Amino acid sequence: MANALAVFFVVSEPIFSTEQCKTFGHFSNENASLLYKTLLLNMFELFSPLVQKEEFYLYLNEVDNAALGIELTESLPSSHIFFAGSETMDSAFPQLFERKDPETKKVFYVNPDFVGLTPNDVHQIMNLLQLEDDVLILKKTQHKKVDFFATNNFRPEIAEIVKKKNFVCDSSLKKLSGLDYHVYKLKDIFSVTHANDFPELYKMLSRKENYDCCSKQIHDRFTHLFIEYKELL
Amino acid sequence: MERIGIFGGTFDPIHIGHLIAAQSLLEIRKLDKIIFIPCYISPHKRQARSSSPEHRLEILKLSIQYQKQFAFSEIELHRQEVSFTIDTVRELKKQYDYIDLIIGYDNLIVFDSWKEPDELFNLTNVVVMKRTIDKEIEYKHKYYEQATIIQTPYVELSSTYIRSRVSQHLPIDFMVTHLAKEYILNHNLYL
Repeated sequence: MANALAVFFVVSEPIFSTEQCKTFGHFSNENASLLYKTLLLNMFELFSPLVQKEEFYLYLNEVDNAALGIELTESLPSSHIFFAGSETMDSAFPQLFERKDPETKKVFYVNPDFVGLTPNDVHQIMNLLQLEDDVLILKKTQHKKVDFFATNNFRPEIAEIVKKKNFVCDSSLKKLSGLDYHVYKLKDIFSVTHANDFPELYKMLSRKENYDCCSKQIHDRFTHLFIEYKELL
Repeated sequence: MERIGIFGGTFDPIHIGHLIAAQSLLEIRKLDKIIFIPCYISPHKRQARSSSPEHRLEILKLSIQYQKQFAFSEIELHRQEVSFTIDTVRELKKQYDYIDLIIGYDNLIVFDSWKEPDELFNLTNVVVMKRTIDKEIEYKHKYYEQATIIQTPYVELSSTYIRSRVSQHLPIDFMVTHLAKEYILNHNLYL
């Protein structure tokens, strides 16, 4: 089991419910939902070649329970999809990691509101997870939040630090340093959480070096939004 | 032409694992000198139980003083900001024609994320310390082929472990040099 992996996708705000999906700027709830579902799907696509779907765990806001799309319920075992209310999500978060096999030490945490992770990045991270030392890999967003981490020796203390809603990089690093991991802060990722992020997302995905950030199918879904909100670009 | 190796790190504190690896590389690579380069760490990013740059440097000086082929450079500490290796290498190239850039195996894994990796290969020989416990990795970027990988003796020791032992008032004899140990204890570091 030493090489077994578990990938936790944690989405604290509703994204499937078109009525209650978190939104920003001039975005309609429906299009915000499309945006965030696309970001989540992109992460699924990224990890699917490396990790069995049985090792995916999805933690969602309970508002989304009735709104899950068939593409998701068919691709993930229902026992791996969990829900919590906005009030209890933070406190229930550490228990989420107890759902995995206790022998599985290699864990990914993904708050999928970002782009900027490529298959090469994932390979690089997989290599670091092979090191003998206890390794913790962090990726922060342009807003200084840690939306991604991976470790080869998961300990519950990490969940206690991560559960804080604003998993801010520098302050978390100080707390994490007490856990004696070799910490690697790799290239930043780009989260889409503010109105100003949307035109930046367009610029970022237009650059050749970022073509690997998503598949053509995902890119087409983003393009639909770029056309819909072209006045913002 | 003088052949030098440059060995960067936090060195908080430098321990015998670093020294043994450096001595081994000195011999295997037939170097005239190895220069230890402690890196600058932003004060707000310093880990719990870490020491100041002045203490790290002093412990380093004490630890290498009897090995005449070991030297140190304060180049990165003087910058007072986090340095990129390429900037340090460019500076040292003004003095030295031949440079082995010594890095750990973990750094090779992330080497393609470093600033100007191709230029680092142009200016130096990238020499990777691979310990016996480091497994062959699965996904290799182009720099794997270009780097010189050297099997170095493995001492299961880390600066984190030493700091942790000091904080628990446990002995650190044989893990750091005698003078380094005295310095750490006399200055109440890592408590």
